[in-house]
Amino acid sequence: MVNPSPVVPSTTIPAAYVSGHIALDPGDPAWAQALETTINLTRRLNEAGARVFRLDEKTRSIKVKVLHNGNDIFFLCRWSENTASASVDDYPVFADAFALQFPLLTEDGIICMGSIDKPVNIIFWRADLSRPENVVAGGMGTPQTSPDAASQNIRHYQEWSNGMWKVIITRPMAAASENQVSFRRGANYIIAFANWRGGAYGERGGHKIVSEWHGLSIK
Amino acid sequence: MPVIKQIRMVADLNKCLGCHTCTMACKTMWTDRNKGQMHMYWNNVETHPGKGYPKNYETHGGWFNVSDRAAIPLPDIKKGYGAPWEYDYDKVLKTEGGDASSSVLVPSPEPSGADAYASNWDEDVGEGEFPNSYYFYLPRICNHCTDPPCVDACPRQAVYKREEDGIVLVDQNRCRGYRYCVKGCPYKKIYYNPEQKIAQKCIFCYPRIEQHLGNFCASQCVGRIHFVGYAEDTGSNVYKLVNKWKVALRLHPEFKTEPNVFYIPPLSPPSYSPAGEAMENRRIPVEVLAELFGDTADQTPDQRIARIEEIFDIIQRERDKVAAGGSSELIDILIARRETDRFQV
Repeated sequence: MVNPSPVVPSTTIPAAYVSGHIALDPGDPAWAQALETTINLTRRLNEAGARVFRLDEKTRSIKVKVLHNGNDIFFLCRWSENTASASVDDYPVFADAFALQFPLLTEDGIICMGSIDKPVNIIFWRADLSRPENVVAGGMGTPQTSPDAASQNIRHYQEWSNGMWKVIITRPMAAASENQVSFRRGANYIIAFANWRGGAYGERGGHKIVSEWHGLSIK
Repeated sequence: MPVIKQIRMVADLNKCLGCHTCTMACKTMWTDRNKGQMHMYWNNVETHPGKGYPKNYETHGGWFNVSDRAAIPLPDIKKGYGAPWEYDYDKVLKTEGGDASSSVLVPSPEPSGADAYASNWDEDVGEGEFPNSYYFYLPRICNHCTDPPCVDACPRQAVYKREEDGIVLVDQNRCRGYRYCVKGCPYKKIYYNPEQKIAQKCIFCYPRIEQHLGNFCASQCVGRIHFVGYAEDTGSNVYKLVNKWKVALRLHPEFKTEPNVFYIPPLSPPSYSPAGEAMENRRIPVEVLAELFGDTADQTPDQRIARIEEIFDIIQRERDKVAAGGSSELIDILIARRETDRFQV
């Protein structure tokens, strides 16, 4: 794969600062202080066994709000899903999933799961999991749940109602180990999003839809 | 990656009793403890003709369906593999303090209605009209294929073929439960554990093979139908049966995976005429066997039929030789007097 030119994100998501406690609840008043950004998911990865993309649905979008209180960072993501699935309990059953991706060591990276010299840090939420996974990847087919217990410190809230998934993901801003990216106030990062319609289309693995890189500015 | 040696198994279907001891041995050894494994029979014995296990797997296709892999179905546990149930023996059997006058056993959980199925749902049903009805048993494990489609299908290289013996394994830590391997395998011999959320399969009892013991299904077989050895070992009985005597065939070689489990097709008694006279043709139509067994992916149905008839002629000729007081290397191998004749690992 060719080395990408430096990423110039078209959209930057502000991570607003709110002092004090933020509840793991979309009803927390702190969310009123976060600007909502709509992220289009337009890229399909081509993988053996996967449909390349659906003609009736070339793009999806996710509405994102980000907040932090200096200690913890919170991502509130909402997206439409008419046929929600939170189960993987039979062969043909797949769960809905969603992921955030950040370059782990570098300022940029290859959007398709990073590369060996520019690994990425992924927060992977799937509706059936007890908690989101902290994942590290260095290229397609390489994502691994990071083995150290310290980095599996991601908490979440999830709710599906009225055809909409609402998921909050939070973790301490400081990296718990070398397998996590650290978020510092005043710094800019890049972030990408992925979505799997497990219930509707059996999407899993590389069979998913992803965004471009976007900016993330920690206020 | 090319393998250094390839483990092989030959099963002589003329000796299979359909007793399921192999299945129970495997189940007891590997899949009766962990959650999510109850529907899995890494070794199963199915009646042919029949729907097989999981139901109708032979029609599902596999990774060779390059143009439409998305259309390969994933079987449902209850309707495809069969939900494991228990019977209320204690209510019915007097020995358990039950009421023997109520003689109907009720399975629980209830199999799923009209779509109910299990690994032996159609056992001993077969086909044909009396007195020419017929069936035979087909024990199946993972074929540890030379070109394993489960390995090709996995986007994470979680499924791999061991260099030292060609055994195909799933790295339980790398697997993320995508189930492309289940789609990929046309024999449906790779399973999904819905509790552990990962794929699991026959491991050819590699811890036993590493100690030069036969795999457990074969070791426990009361009919002593299996031969296990290495494809490259010209002194082994698997080599002699497959390459020298050429009496063992692959199951569905048209699936293009090059299975390393081979079968000696079953001979059968002659058909009877309405007058009760023995006729020329065998009870199990050779065409039925040719739908299952062959040497290579490119053989025509007629070539497969010819090969099966050739195998029957070889076995019959060698049997006649022994019956007349002579000796036959082939029959000596097939009798399998000693365990060392069967397991050369």
